[in-house]
Amino acid sequence: MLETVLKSGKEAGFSTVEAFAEKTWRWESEGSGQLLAVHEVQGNRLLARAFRDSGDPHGFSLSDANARLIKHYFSCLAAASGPDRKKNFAQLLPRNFARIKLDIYDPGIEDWHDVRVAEPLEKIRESLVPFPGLKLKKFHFSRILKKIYLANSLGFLAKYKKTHFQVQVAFMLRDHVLELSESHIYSSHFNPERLVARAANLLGALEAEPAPMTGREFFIMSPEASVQMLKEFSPGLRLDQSSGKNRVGGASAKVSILDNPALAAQTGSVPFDDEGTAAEEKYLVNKGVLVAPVSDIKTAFARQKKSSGNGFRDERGIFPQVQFSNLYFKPSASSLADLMRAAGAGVLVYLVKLKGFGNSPGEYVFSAYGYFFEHEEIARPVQFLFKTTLRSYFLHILELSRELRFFHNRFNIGSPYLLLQGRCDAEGKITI
Amino acid sequence: MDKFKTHLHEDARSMQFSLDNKDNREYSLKRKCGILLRSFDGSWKSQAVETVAKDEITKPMSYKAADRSRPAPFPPADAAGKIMVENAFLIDFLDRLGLQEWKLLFRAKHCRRTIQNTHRRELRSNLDHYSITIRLKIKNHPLELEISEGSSEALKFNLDGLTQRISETIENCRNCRKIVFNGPLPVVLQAGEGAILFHEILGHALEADYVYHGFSPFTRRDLDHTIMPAALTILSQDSRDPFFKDSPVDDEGETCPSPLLVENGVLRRFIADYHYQKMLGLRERGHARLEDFSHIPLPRMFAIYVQPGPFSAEEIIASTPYGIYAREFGDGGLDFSAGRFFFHIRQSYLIEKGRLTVPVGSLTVSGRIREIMNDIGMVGNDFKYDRGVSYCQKNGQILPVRVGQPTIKINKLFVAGGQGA
Repeated sequence: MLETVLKSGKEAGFSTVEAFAEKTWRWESEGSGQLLAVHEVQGNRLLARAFRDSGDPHGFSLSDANARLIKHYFSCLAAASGPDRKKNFAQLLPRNFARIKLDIYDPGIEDWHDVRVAEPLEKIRESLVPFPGLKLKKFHFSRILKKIYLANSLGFLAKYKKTHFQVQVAFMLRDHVLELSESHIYSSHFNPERLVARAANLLGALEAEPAPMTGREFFIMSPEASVQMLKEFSPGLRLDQSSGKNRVGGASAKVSILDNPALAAQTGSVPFDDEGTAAEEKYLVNKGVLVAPVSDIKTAFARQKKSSGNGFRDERGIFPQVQFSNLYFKPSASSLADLMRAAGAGVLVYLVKLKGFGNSPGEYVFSAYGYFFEHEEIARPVQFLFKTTLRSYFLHILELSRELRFFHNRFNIGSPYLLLQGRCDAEGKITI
Repeated sequence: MDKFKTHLHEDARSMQFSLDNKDNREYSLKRKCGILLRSFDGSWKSQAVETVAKDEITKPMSYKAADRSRPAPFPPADAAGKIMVENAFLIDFLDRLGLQEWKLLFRAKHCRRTIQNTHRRELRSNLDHYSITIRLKIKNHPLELEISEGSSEALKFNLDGLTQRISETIENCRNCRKIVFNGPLPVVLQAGEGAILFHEILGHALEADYVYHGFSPFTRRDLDHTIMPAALTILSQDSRDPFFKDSPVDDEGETCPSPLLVENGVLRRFIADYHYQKMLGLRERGHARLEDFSHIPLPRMFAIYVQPGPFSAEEIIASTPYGIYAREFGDGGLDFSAGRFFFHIRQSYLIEKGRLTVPVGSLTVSGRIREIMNDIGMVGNDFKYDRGVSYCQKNGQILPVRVGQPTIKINKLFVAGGQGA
């Protein structure tokens, strides 16, 4: 079918054509009782991007396309193209692909039976026993097999397949509800005990009362909290979005941030992006210095730069957009205990939620939930508000730990523990 | 629960054309077709297949032949060229404003669904939606501004009205008074889009899955009890609204016999689909919606319409010594675990001594869901629908929704922001 797309595009008068096909098999199970609801989806979409010698590309997306439909849609695109002498980036599309072996496929996905679906649910229920009062409110398990095919009229032709397992659960403790998820390439990487322990920890922190923060200056962000912060500030690391106050201007010398689609067994990993640019580790921030934000071919071309290989199509889009693959803080050699010793006393933050915007441009206000610590011992839970900006947050990171954890939410983000220094004003309000 | 089966076939076609001040133009077409088969026989099983193959579509449930009337061709020939010609006035207007950046985005979508279930014959549900979005960046102003309008009729918009809104938005941005807000204030919600507040705090809280799982602040015991002031009557459907005129059934082929959600402050019904109607033992369903055939339906709102009351908009504003007039709205959200909500106001004015005075920029308002019900004050008599570009996201599914209300005053909302935040 890719050859049909390339051929039809040329016949319709387009000088360069890109064809992208995605076949998806998705199996979902949901419920919390004995009988789970089951949902099975077979997806089959074909996307094309077509360039003339000059002017912007046009494109289409079709379900289960056949040759007649492809020809019809190319003729619609051709009718829409008006005279436009603007230079385009067609010749920057990749022409060949050096095959790389990437560990992103679990062969066990072909071997699943309905009864196996209940296994993660049973294990989660067992893990709840040591936590009285903690209830499972919702369970959703999905396994996805995706096959991607990409070709263009400059000679590129490649494909890959990838698996993705995800558990989404909601727990309740007294009046508090918390939704958590875990995503993996391999189903064997699930750890239900850790998921339940995470929930108990986070829900325990949610029960905290607001407390005066006077004298508290040191905050350790857990990987989960840090990932939430990095996600909020990640537009500053994208070439299509970063400008002015949203741009990462610099960071503490301890901070290096990478995007790496070539990590083994990570949910954001791919051998090439949706334009064919090969997977490569990239430093976005290196020891506090901004190196380069991520980009796709179009965004890079507009700024006379080279694509970083971050052009991805989401499930609703037709054209690639800039998106991260695996975005993470580079861990150090220190442990969490080292960070706690260095701080002496402070708050270990487990959960942050964006509460709103502050009074200054670019200022965010977050609710934070965690536990006081002193002399490496965790004490009582606490919640507080803090405000920060993108620049200030990155500048006040004092140290990172070595325990790197990833969480998948639209894209894969990872962080170790981060030690930050804030300040507390006379009214007990925290600014980082 | 009885056995139940549904069969949904969908053929959705859309077109998108964008144009910006650097003469970047993108034109794209999409066609997504497939079927969704669902059955309940002790547990739910569903299967979705993305296909245009006729034999796949007609196989199950004695499906009758597809609608024989040929739909109008979509997209129309040279759609992008026509858009440029019909909106030349708007494009020229934006060019002359001297903005740092601007972008126009035109969208058209035709969605044809045929639904059959155990109890009913084949039913059709169509939704046509057209929208224009204008994104602007003003020199020396950090935020991107957005103005949108939608229609269920055609890809044609009130260009005079749009240019006026653009001018006012830019003027307000440049001239907004630098006040920092951080406390409770009365907020007057403009007629039309202001109902997004009710969509967030009431609509989602009445969705039967949230009620069943204990996430909602409401329970089944609240049915037929007072939950808000008697001045408020809220509907989930309105036969006079053309927006959903061709969508007589939900995505399970069911209808809700009555649109009354809240009657004079008394909760009358929840927003339910087949599954949660049975789980909660409710009287009615008819609110099953899905983004497309590859998803399973959930209890979702079609619309929230707050019915008019006795006061004029002028009386409501005049009754406010100091407060906020909220005019254009952004996103909102709920945190059920905390029982809280928030939403962003993109454009607002200060009310001083009962009069609108100066623009004060974008703000965030928040509060507790059940508490705010008692803080709803005066309800106006100037009902309006929204501008036709409201969307709602739930569990990863994005759906078009509709809101409408008259001018309404909330006696107390926590207001934060200002000073160009």
